[in-house]
Amino acid sequence: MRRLGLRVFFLTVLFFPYLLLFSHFNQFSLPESSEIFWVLKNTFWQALGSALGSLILGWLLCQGVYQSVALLSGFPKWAHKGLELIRWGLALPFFLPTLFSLLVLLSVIEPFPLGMTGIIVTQTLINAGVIAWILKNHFDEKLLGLGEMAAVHGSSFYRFWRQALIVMKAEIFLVLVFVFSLSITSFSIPLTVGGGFGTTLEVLIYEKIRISGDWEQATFLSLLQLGLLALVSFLPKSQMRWQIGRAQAVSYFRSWIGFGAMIGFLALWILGFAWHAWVGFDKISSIPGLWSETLSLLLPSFLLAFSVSGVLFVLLGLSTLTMDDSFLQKIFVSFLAPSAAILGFVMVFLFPLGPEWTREKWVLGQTLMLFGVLYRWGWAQKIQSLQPQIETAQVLGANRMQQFRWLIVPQMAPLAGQLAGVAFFWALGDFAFSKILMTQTQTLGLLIEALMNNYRLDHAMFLMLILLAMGFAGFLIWKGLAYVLGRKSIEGL
Amino acid sequence: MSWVENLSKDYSGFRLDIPKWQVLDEGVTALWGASGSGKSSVVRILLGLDPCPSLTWKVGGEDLAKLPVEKKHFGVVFQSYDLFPHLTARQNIAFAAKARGLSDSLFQTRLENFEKKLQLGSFLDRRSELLSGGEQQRVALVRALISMPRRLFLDEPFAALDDGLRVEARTLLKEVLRDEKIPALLITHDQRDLELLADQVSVISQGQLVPPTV
Repeated sequence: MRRLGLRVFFLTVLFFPYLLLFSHFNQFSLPESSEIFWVLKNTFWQALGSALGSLILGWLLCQGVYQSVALLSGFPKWAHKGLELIRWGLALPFFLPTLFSLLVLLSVIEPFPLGMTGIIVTQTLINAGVIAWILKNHFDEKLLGLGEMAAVHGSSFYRFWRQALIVMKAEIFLVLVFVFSLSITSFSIPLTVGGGFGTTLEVLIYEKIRISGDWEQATFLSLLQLGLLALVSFLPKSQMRWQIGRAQAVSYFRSWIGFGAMIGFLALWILGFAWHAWVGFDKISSIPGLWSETLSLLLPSFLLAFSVSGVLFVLLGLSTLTMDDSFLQKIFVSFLAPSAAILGFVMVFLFPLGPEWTREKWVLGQTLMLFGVLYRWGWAQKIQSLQPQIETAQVLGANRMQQFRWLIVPQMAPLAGQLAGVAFFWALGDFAFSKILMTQTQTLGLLIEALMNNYRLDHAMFLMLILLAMGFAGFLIWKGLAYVLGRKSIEGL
Repeated sequence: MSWVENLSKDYSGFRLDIPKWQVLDEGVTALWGASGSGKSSVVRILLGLDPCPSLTWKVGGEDLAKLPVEKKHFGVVFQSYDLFPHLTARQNIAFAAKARGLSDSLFQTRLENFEKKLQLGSFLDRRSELLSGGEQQRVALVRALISMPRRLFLDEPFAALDDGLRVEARTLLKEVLRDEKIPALLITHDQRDLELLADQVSVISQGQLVPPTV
């Protein structure tokens, strides 16, 4: 009964947009074949370009990281923490809202190349840092021993990498697929920097509904996109800590060019942002009413994003009750939310609630878009890792409630808090989905996007600084709440 | 003594088949076999962690095989101990006591008793992930015994210890089992475990019992 109830609940929540869509539009109509071909070509090339660009730049950055490892190994132990800073600095653009990345890139790269090139450059610079991170984990795991052996035998740099690439071909392919699948679903980037030349599948779905009101074609394109995604969808599995260790002895992995690229990459994001935010602070009073509008949007934006993270926190928590249901576990791991454009328009036109429910719809939509991503982002593995403990607890006589309270909550809450914190950040920085749902500027993200569209980049950058501070505060609140929950749950043991 | 009957299960490429097996209701019954012989699968099935619909295990008129895992009232020490890493040693033990509804006073009395016998005092309030192998083993043993289970399962309980600690741990375990008078099922591949602990030995090979060697 419990299992059935949970199945009905989760399947209803996760799949209701699809149900609404297909119950209203059970007939598809195909766009012109030339249009399909054109948009598929755009989607494919931008995704492939982004994947290759991210891999090449990521590899270069990875060499920079290894060079840092070699440099830091000569310093006392406290200085080794610098590696953690580099690690997070590299991953920053990937984890922060896309709006942040767009603003920094549009401000720093002048003139910014709009169209296909712009999309590829943006995706590459956003993903390369995290790819460097993933590559380093793979290299540490699979190549370090091989590298040491090759070094002892006096192999050259090129000879080593010729063999190493063969050993790593599966991992490299998966990295390519990872960025490729992210690029296929990207909405805000092609919408903002595509400039009409690089229309992708996602943007075309948006235009079909927004401009021509053609739901039948949009539904077909959405299905097409879903099929493409189902083919390539995957997220990285390994999350390791970086350590100063064996790698400094082997020279194959590091290079000064990579080190320079890494410094440049970090400077682009961190200094580029800091400089323009500072200039924006000076200019903020030049637009009358901007400051008061910003202040008036702080609380609503915070509450909306906090609601999204709260709902996700609860959903992730509830999902732990389905640990023994392999059917639901498979659904969670493979769940793909509808595209942002489709989901937005389903919420506006097909969800039988009036406009006064916009905020609730926004929260629900964001939740659906983020649930699958977060679930795959370590949640599924963490749940699996508790299985032996659950079995031991069962043998020791613990009932479901005791297992939940004493084992699951204290061990899952920290990760749930972290994921809710990330969701808070992303929801706070959303503008693309908000644009579809909201007719007025109701969030700070939308205000920043409006400034960006009017080329008030410095102003937007300063407001982004406020948004990031709010995001960080929300992240800490979730970390704190999760910590307290974890501690409370084992009180009395 | 009691009889385990119809313990059979097909795994991919491996069949476990024990039509009838005599298990002591007092003392230590050992199941000895090489790696891959099916010992751990037997334990998982008897504990109820892996399903085996044909199994019966009647003790005092009650078929233990038909009870759900948590109602069987067994204790277990796995090879990896599986302590709950977020809890202290004391909380790990309290977990089992509370799960079985042991009163606070009885829990305290028994814990003090074990604390003296197994010298737990110095690390009882340390998080279990920070304990050494020998300390973890002692905590896992107390956790399994605290609520006076009707039977104790020991799945290669010394495998993770080095040789020096193993000798000491065997002696301690023997004393504890003697004092607690709880029948135990010991799974091992180590002949020395049998020599010191076992009252009856069954040998398993390729998923089937073979005539006893000890």
